[in-house]
Amino acid sequence: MTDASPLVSVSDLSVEFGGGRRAFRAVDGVSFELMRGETLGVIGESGCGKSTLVRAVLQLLRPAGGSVLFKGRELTRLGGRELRRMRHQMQMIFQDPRSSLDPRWSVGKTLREPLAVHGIASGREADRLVDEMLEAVALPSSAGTRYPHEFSGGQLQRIAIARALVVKPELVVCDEPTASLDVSVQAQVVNLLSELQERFGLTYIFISHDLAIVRHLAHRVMIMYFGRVAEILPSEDIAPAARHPYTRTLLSAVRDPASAIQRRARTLDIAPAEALELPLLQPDGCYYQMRCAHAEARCRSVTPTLDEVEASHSVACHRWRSLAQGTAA
Amino acid sequence: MKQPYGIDRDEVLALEDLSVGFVHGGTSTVLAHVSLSIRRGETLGLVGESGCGKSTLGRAVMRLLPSNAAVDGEIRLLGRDVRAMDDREIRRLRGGSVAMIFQNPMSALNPVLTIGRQITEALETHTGLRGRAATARAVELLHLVGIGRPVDRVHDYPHQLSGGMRQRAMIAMAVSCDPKLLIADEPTTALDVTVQTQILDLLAALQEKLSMAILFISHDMAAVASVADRVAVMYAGRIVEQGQATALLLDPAHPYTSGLLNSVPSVDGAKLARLQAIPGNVSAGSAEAAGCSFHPRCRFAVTGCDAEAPPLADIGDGRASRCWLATEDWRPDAAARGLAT
Ligand SMILES: Nc1ncnc2c1ncn2[C@@H]1O[C@H](COP(=O)(O)OP(=O)(O)OP(=O)(O)O)[C@@H](O)[C@H]1O
Ligand SMILES: Nc1ncnc2c1ncn2[C@@H]1O[C@H](COP(=O)(O)OP(=O)(O)O)[C@@H](O)[C@H]1O
Ligand code: SF4
Ligand code: SF4
Ligand SMILES: [Mg+2]
Ligand SMILES: [Mg+2]
Repeated sequence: MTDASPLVSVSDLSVEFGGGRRAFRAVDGVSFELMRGETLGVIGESGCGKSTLVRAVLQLLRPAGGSVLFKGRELTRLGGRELRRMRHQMQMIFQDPRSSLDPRWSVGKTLREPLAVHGIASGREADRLVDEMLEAVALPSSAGTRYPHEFSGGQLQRIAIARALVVKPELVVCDEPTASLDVSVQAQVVNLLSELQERFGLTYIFISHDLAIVRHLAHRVMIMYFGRVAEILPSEDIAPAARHPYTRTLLSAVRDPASAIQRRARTLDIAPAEALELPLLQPDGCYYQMRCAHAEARCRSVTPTLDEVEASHSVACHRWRSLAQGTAA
Repeated sequence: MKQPYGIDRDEVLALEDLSVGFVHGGTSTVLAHVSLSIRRGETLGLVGESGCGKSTLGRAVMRLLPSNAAVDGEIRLLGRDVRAMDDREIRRLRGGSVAMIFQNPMSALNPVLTIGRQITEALETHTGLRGRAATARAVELLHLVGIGRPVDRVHDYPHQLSGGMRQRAMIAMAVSCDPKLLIADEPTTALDVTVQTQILDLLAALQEKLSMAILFISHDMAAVASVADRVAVMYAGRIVEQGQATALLLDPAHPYTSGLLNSVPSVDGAKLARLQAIPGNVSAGSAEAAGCSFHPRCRFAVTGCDAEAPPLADIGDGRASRCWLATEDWRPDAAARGLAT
């Protein structure tokens, strides 16, 4: 699936919003590598910085610090014109296809536009590429003359995917592409993304708040907490391998119908809400300290570094060695 | 109170043959002949994909449908005909014996009033509690739903609370007047997984304490499994399967229920190359189409499924399935595995 050099290499990337004393680090020293043909899943609660991180990777907003190498080129130092020339190699798919497509444009025009903008094709050649792409996302070529309001949510997401892929990108960032879709249609879109990855050799960053879907689609999963990486690990055996207390909490919160029924057997207590609140300030030390059942003195003063547990598995927790693998948080 | 002879005294809500259409030019049927009932202390989970008519059903019970809605059939609440009530009775009903919570608490809470004030307002309207007594009750309610330091929190405005806290505040407001029926329309959809679990536990615990009936509307099978005693599955405006939650979720008797359950991947166990998707989309107006409305997407369809619509047939143990194949022991999951049926 991969060749030796990473397609994307991000190190110590930070994004700040607001200035002076009110400055707030939405992304705080994030590093990861992405191999060709790989899918990196990004998961974390809403507001933790997932979208901000990928926007900084694609230079849709400028980071406060750190580096992003794409095929060996430092993106953070490129000017606007050079970046525009590289745009078609990095595409993005958003959560809500209805708001990301222009309702006044036919599907054909929507797909031809990026080909024109990037000077890739026009005329007959553009029509051929558009038809090929509609076929790839399993829409009839007659879809080209129709308008967004004539399609269901799942079909619109196929159109948005076609628009992203028609320019033959290498990196595709999917920001919660199934969140606005029905359960029964979600699976179709997830399967389509897998097929397209195999067919076109795509590299994905896939953001979701649904751990089960991320695990299904991704080769590796990155768990973010409050702007920082908590853990990165292979998706195959995430449940037994997870070390970070937050990853384990996420795993225990995942409900499938069968385990949900079992959980009901235990006594019903009303748990206090307090422990669940996001920290309002960024405290010294580990950001997870307020919610962590394993926090100790150094967690409140020293920021944990991202340590390698084994190849392609890293964790940012002072106590990962002493926390036995896979036990409940 | 008018109590028709022979009625189930524990029945809280009963819908009989409820149909709802929306008129704009033509009429589109959204609910077609839905019958269901909920008893005291029971949670009915209503599942189905977006657009299938779940919220329309909830709004019909509260008489909150817009004026272009055409309603037919019976809605009986605590033995009384909701459709025959006058405006004064309806206002007393809403937030009194029936309360509703929504997906987005921010749209239901008043942004310029403290949450304490919003609860005391409801108490004044429905219970006659006033002043200090009402405030004390509001503090009690916030404590009941697990909000810490409730004495301070009554003075907070909605924007000062996190999403999970807001949903708790809305639940506190909903249960403030001791409702007999709580309609919860996708109450956890907008929340993070970790917070979702807490809210679901809260609803289950509150029901135990207050023994109200809950109509729990969701498209999330796992959420429904966490709270429901019985489940009704809707597809294109009709109930396609109904039964005890455990039996229905572990051993579905309708191809659509089975498809919904199987399209969700698991977090442990072996990874599959592809998810088991249900092909196609729910098409508009399929409530009126000939034949089984699930037919275009059904992998088990046989000759005749496209010609005649199956009835919602009783298959024993309080189960019912709207599928020609759902005889006593046919099960889609077993059939898909190639087991003898
Ligand atoms: N005022 C209205 N006029 C016309 N059609 C309407 C109106 N309100 C709802 N509908 C239609 O009725 C159908 C059912 O809507 P409803 O919101 O009840 O479904 P739902 O299952 O709760 O969906 P979701 O899960 O997306 O909220 C949809 O097709 C919707 O477009
Ligand atoms: N333009 C902005 N100005 C100020 N704060 C922002 C801006 N964009 C995002 N944020 C904040 O950054 C944090 C991360 O946001 P986002 O990346 O959108 O999170 P996610 O995608 O995980 O929901 C949030 O606290 C959000 O409010
Ligand atoms: S560093 Fe400390 S507070 Fe942070 S997750 Fe590890 S044990 Fe918990
Ligand atoms: S009646 Fe036929 S088409 Fe409908 S669910 Fe049953 S097998 Fe499928
Ligand atoms: Mg986001
Ligand atoms: Mg709804």
